[in-house]
Amino acid sequence: MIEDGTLVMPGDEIAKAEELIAGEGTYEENGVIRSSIIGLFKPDREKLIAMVKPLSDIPLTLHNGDTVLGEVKQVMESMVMVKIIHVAGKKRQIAGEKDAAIYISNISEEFVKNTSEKFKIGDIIRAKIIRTSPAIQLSTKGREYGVIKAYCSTCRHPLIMKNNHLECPVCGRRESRKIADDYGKGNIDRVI
Amino acid sequence: MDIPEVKRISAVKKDYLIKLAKQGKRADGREFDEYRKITIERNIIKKAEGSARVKIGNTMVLAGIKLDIGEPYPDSPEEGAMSTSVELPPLASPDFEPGPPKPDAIEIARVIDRGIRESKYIKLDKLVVEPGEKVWIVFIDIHVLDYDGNLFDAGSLAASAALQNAVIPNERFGLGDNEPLPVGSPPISCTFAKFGNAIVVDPGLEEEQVAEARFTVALDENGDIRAMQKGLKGRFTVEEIKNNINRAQIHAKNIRKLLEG
Amino acid sequence: MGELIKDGLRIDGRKPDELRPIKIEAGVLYRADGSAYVEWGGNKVLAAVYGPRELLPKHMQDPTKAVVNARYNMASFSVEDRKRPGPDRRSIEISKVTSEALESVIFTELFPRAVIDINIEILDAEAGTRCAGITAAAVALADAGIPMRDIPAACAAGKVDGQVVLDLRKEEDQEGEADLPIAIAPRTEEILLLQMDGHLTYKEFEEALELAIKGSKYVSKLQKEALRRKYKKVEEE
Repeated sequence: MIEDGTLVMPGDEIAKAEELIAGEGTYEENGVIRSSIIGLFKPDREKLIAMVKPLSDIPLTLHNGDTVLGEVKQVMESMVMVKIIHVAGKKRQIAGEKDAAIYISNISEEFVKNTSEKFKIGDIIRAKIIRTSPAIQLSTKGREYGVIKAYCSTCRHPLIMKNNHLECPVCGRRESRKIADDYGKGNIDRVI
Repeated sequence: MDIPEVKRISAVKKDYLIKLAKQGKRADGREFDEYRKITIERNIIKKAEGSARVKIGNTMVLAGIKLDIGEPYPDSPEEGAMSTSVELPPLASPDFEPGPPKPDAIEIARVIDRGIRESKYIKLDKLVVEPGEKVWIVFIDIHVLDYDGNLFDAGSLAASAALQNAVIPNERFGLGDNEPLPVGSPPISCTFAKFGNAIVVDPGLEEEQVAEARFTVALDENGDIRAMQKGLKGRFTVEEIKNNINRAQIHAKNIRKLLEG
Repeated sequence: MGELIKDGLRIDGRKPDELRPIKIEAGVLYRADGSAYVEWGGNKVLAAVYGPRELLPKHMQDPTKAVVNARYNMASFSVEDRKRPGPDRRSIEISKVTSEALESVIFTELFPRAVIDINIEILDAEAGTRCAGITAAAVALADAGIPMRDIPAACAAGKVDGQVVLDLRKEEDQEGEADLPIAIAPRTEEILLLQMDGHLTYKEFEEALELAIKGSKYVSKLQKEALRRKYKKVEEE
C-alpha cells in the first residue's frame, strides 16, 4: 500500500484488494486497487476503504441534500415536473439526468391542496434534492426554498414582490406561489 | 449502426455468444477461423466500367467502377487518381438511415481505399492522358445491398473484383478503343472481431453487434502488410494483434485464389 | 530513396528511435472542464473536454453509460494550402477512432445519459497530428477529473528509406514507405488505436510496433509530468 497523502493519477496502484475496498476515486482490477482520478490517497482506515480525494475539478453529479435551481416544466395534480438547471455554488454542467419531480407532499410544510397555486410553468425555483434514484425527487419545504423568479400567467412579465404578494407591474395581476425568502434577489449560488 | 434498441438487444445476445465462444463455438456453427461462403460475380452492371457482386454468407455488396477525366493532384501530376466511397442504404438493413455518409461508412471506405492504394493495385502511373493536365480518375463506389456483417472484407473484395475486369472508356471520351484498366495484384482484406476472450474471423452481424474491438488487415501477394485498422472501443494485446495477422495470412491465400481464379 | 536517412541520422538529425521534441501543458483553458496543450515537433494542438453533461437530443442518450464524442478538427490555417473549414472524410474517420480509443479507458457507466465531449483542435500541423491530438485529449480528460483506468498515450512509427523509425516528420510521412500510428493504455500496453498504411513485412511490423509502444510510453511519462506540474501547485495552495 502507498503512503497516505500520495499524489496519484488514473491507473496508479494504491493497494492490494485484500488490504482495502475500492471507494470513491478508485477501482479494482485483477486484485489491485488503483486510482481513477488525479488526487491524494486518503483512505478511510477504520472502514478499510481506499479513497482518492480529487485535486482536479470532477464531474458534477447530483447528491441528496444538494441545493439546486430548476425550471418548472409541468404542473400536474399530484406533482410538479422540474428541469434542474444549476447546482448552487458549482460552475460545471450536470453530468446526466436533469429531470426531477416534486410530489405535492414535498412542496411545503403546510398542507397543499392545489399544486397550481404553488408553482406555474416557467417559474425558476430553488429546491433541495431528497432522492436521486431511481428518479430525482426535490423538496421545497422550508422558507429558503421555493420560487425565486416567476412570470405573470397572462402577460409573461416577471412578477415583483409587493406587500408580501406577487404582483405583475404591467397588468397588475396578483398571483400566489410557494416563494423562497429571497424572491427576486437573483441569488443563484446560495447553498442552504 | 448506433441504434439504442439494437444495443439493448445486443447486450443480451452477447451473453449467449460469449457462452458459446467459451465452448469454442459460434452461433452459426462456424469455427473461429472459418469464413462464410464467398461468391464473386463480375460484370453485372452494363453502364459501369467494371462491377462485381460479392457475397460473404448473407452479406451482399455491389461495387461499381466509373472513370472520368480530370486534373491530377498537384503533388502527383504524372498519376491518375482514385476515390472510394461506401453507401449504407436503408434497403440493406432496418438500422441504416438515409442521408449523407455517416462515420461508419466513411471508415469502411477509407480502410478499403488504403488497402487498394497502398498495394498499388491500380497502376495510377498508367492513367495519364496529358501529363500534368488530364488524368483518369477511378471512382470505386461500393453499395451494400444486404448487411449481415463484415462489410470491410466484402467491400474490399467487391472493389478488387470490379477493378480486375474494368475498362478505360476511351471510346466515350473520343480517345480511341477501350482498353483494360491496368491493375497489379489485389490486396486481400481480413477482418476479426473480439468479444469476451474470443477473436473470430469474418464476423457475422450478431458478432459484429456485440464486438468490443475489431481489426482489419490488408495483405499483398507476398503476405506483407499494406493497411491496418483497429476499430471500436475495446482493446487488443500486442500478442492478439500479431496472432490476427498470422491468421490473416492463411485466409488471404485462400481468398486470393477465389479472386484470381 | 536514400535521402531521408544519411549516416544513420534523419533529416532533422534524429536517430531512428528518437522522438521530436514534445511539450505538454495541462489545464490551459478557462471555460473547459479540462484541457491540455501539446507541441510535438511542428504540431500545435489544443484539447478541451466538456462534460459529462446531458446528451441532447434525448433519443441519442444511452441509459447505461455516457457517450464519448471526440471531434478532431484541423484549423484552416494549419496546413500549407488552406483547408476548407468543417469535417472532411479524413477528420470524420480520425474522430471516430479517437472516440473509440479514449472511451476504452473511461468509466462511462458512471454517467448514464450523459455525453463527454472532447474537442481536439489542430492549430499547426506537421505530421502525426492524430497522435498529438489523442495525447492532448487524454491529458485533458484527466484534468477534467473523468474517472479512467489509465491515461492513454499515442505515438507513430513508420518506415523510411527501408528502415523502421519512430515518429515521422512531414517529409518522412510524405515520402516514406509506411506509417503506423497507435494509442495504448501505457500500464497494460493494450492497443486502443492502430492504423497503418504503406508497406511493411510482418517482421518490420513487429519492429515498428515495438518502437511505437516504446515511444508511447515515453509520451505517457511526459503526460504525467505535465499533470503533476499542474496538480503539485494545486496541492500546495
